[in-house]
Amino acid sequence: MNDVVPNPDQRLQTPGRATREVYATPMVDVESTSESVVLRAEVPGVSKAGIDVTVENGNLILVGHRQPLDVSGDPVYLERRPTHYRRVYELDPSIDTDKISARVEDGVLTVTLPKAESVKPRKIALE
Amino acid sequence: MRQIVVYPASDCRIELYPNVLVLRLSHLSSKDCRYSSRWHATSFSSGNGITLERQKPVSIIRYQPYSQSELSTAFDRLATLREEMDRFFDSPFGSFLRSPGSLRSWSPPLDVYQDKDNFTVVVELPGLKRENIDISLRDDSLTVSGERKAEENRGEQGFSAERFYGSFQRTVKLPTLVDANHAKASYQDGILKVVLPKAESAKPKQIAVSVS
Repeated sequence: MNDVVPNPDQRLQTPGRATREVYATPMVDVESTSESVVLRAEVPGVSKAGIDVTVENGNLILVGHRQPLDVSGDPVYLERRPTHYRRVYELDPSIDTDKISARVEDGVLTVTLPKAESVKPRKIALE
Repeated sequence: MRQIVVYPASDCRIELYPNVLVLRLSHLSSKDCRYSSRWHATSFSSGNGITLERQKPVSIIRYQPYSQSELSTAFDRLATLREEMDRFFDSPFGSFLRSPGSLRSWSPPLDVYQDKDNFTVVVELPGLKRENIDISLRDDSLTVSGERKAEENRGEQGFSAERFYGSFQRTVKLPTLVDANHAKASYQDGILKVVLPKAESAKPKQIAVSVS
């Protein structure tokens, strides 16, 4: 088995043939408050340099590229799927796309999408 | 013959048609509903769960009320879940995972590598703090455990959880003894890497042949 199955992290780079990048869908928690929508995506193995967050045509595109892990030796037992990550969300028009912010820490990408003022709950005063 | 039981949660409905199992999840889905395309239902007892037996392929359609602009992400999730199911039952280390309760718990994926001097165990643990990861080594068995607490105040206008929370534990029995005193662990970008030097007695040795 050790000869047949290459180190899976090496599959992330396949020199010598046309590469077709493989993306997995990361698990994401979505939390909606009156102020904003917060997405937390699990992207283990992706550092800040590998994160790519874009807004295009009302879609939010989250991409995480991971570097192959630096491990010496042959695999004995494998469960991980070290793929890159990609997920696309359709943004509601009430999201203020200019104020979207993102940060990544310990393999979790947190994207904060502030809602526009007009959709926040407003109290109406009684006359 | 392998069986699992699928328990419907309060926000999940199971509909069974000939050869097709449909799970309907509300937008506040929990992870209590699991499915795989290689399972086919053998019995359905209302109120409790469906017993699925692993046999010929069945097509599974997952209905999602919230729209995703790319169909490929839906199939990716199907593939990921199918692999999780296969991994769940096929893993040589996984026989202790057969209890039904573990379908709902967090089992972070891990790899084991070896070269002539070391074993390296890699576990994917995104979003943990170092003090919440516990690594213990006993003889030839490595146990990684810890806990990730869910945040309080989960969004008064809605919350959709896909990630696992709570405590986890993975134990790996290594083929040879290791030197616990020189073990090293590092945690970066959500990946825990534990390097365990093999005990001297366990390393391969050359035996010289003397000519007499």
